[in-house]
Parts: sequence; structure tokens; C-alpha cells
Amino acid sequence: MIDVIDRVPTNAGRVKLIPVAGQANTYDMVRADNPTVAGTSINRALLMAMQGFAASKTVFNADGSITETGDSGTMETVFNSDGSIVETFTGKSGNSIVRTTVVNTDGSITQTIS
Amino acid sequence: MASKVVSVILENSITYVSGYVNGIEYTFTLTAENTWSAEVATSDDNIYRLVLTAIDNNGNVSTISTTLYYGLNLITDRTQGDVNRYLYLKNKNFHEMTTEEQMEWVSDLRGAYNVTDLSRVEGAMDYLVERLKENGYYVNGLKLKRLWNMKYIPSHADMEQYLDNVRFIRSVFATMTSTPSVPDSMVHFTYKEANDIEQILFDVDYLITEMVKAMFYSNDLFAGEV
Repeated sequence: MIDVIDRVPTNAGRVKLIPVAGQANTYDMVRADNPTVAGTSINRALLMAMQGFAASKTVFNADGSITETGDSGTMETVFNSDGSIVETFTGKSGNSIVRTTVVNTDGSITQTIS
Repeated sequence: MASKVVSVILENSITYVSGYVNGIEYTFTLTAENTWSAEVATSDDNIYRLVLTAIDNNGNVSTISTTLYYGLNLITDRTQGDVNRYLYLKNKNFHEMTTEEQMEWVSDLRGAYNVTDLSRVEGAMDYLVERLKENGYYVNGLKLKRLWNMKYIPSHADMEQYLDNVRFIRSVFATMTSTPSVPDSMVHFTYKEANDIEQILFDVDYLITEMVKAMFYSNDLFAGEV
């Protein structure tokens, strides 16, 4: 998994136009949005990871839980006695996100994100 | 204090490695097959001078001196004049040289291709492999020696691997039409071929930088944009 972080600019959309020497009406456009958080690039690494190509180590713990550690964070999967499954991803940024899966008595499945 | 992990690849009979990196003493640990590493204080110029003592499984002790370069330290503009200067000094007895010529001779002459160049270029390759990996590009087949030193005479196989490493990096990423081809061989190696090898690495680094500049980020775009 990849800990996807939003870019947080202080001047959203701002760019600098730098004239290219010797070429009329041609400019290099450079971001000038002064981000407080640079954000995760939308690039090959991200998109390939979304297809499963991300390095990780999976450990099956003695208590039945599973810990999967990757370059950008850790996923803990806990199988509760009530049949629910709680998956917690904690990124290296410190942000965490939780998916709870519950099999309902009518056979439906509810997943919540928190 | 900022630190960096430096690694050397040694014979598989080695069982203990310690020594000095930029004058500070460290003990190295075996971190991968034949690979000994230590976490050392970061050097401002990204150059790490190692003087190591290695002990093998028969108790034999050897001293290894090498310089590791990290980051890009590339030379792409050697000239025939540089080669001529090297040949002029080479044909002169060291004791007949002026003091300035002697200092020039023991420095890294641009017209020569020696252990410093091999180490420097491998450092650049190592740096590029990491940059490529950060962006989802994996260079397979690369084998860096990381232990060039004056006592070790490179073999034909070493030089073939050296060129193959450049080939692997060149083939895994985009290049410009002006990016040179990898020399076929290190036999009768010319200053132009030396420049070409480093120009390839420079071009790959440049294109990675340009690619990253053009990237969008999470929270930049909405569906249907761009």
C-alpha cells in the first residue's frame, strides 16, 4: 500500500511563467503554489502499487492478526471474535485509516471507513 | 547528526570488517551476500574515503583502501588536450616534474581513466538506480563492484559488467535523441567514450528531474480535468 498524501498549497494554482531564451511566446511553467505538504505524485510508482506492485512483508501473528509492512506504512488486520474484521493502515506520515468489515445477520456485508 | 549507510562488496571468505571512513572508526556488518555496510556520518561532498581491515575465515588480515562516491559527480567534457596532458606527464619521470606537475599527477587527471573514475561513475549509477526506484523504475541485472582500488586490476569481466550496468540504466528509462550509445567495449577506450558513459547518466538524471517537475499530485486534479 502507499500512504497517499494530498498536496496542500498555500497559493493554490499559482505558477511562474519563465520566458525561454531565444524562443518567442514560449515559457516554462513552474509551480509556485508554496505547498505546506508536497503531496504524493501521481506516477508510475503509485499506479503500479495500486495494481499490487508494492514491496511488503506479511507476518501472521500468534494472536491471529496479520501485519503487512511496506515502504510507506503498515497494515494491521485483526479478526474479531464477533466475526468482524478491522484493517488499520498507518502511514509513515502518521496518518491512519481504518476499514471495518461486518457480515450482517442477513448475509450482507457492511464496510465502514474511519 | 545526519548519517549515511556505505557498503562494500568483498570476497565471501571475509568474516570481519572494520576500519575508518573519512577518518572515523566504524565496524561494518554483513548486510547482504558479500556486502558489508556501516552507518557513517554524512560527508558534505558525498565522498567517502575508506581504509578497512578485513579478516577472512582463515584469520588472514588484509587492508583495503577505496573511495566511494555518492550522488552525481560526472565529467562529460574531456578533450584531446586532457589526454595529451596526461601523456606528457606520464612520459616524464616523477622526480623531473615541477612541484605543480607532481601535484597535478597525483590528482585526478581528466585525461586518465582510473580507479577514481570507476568509483565515481559507479556512485552515479547507484544514485540513479535509487532515483529510478523512487519513481517506480527498477533496474535489473545491475552489479556494482563498489570496491575499486589501486591494488585491484579490473578484469575483462569487470569492465563488461561496468558497461552492462550503464546499458541497463539507459534501457530502463527514456533518453533523448542526443543521448550517446553505450560503448561496445573498454578495449582501446577513448576520452569520447568516457564522456559518452557519463553523458548517458547525466541525461537520465536530467530526464528524471524533468519528469518529476511535470507530475501532478494527489488533490491537484478532479475527474475530467487535464
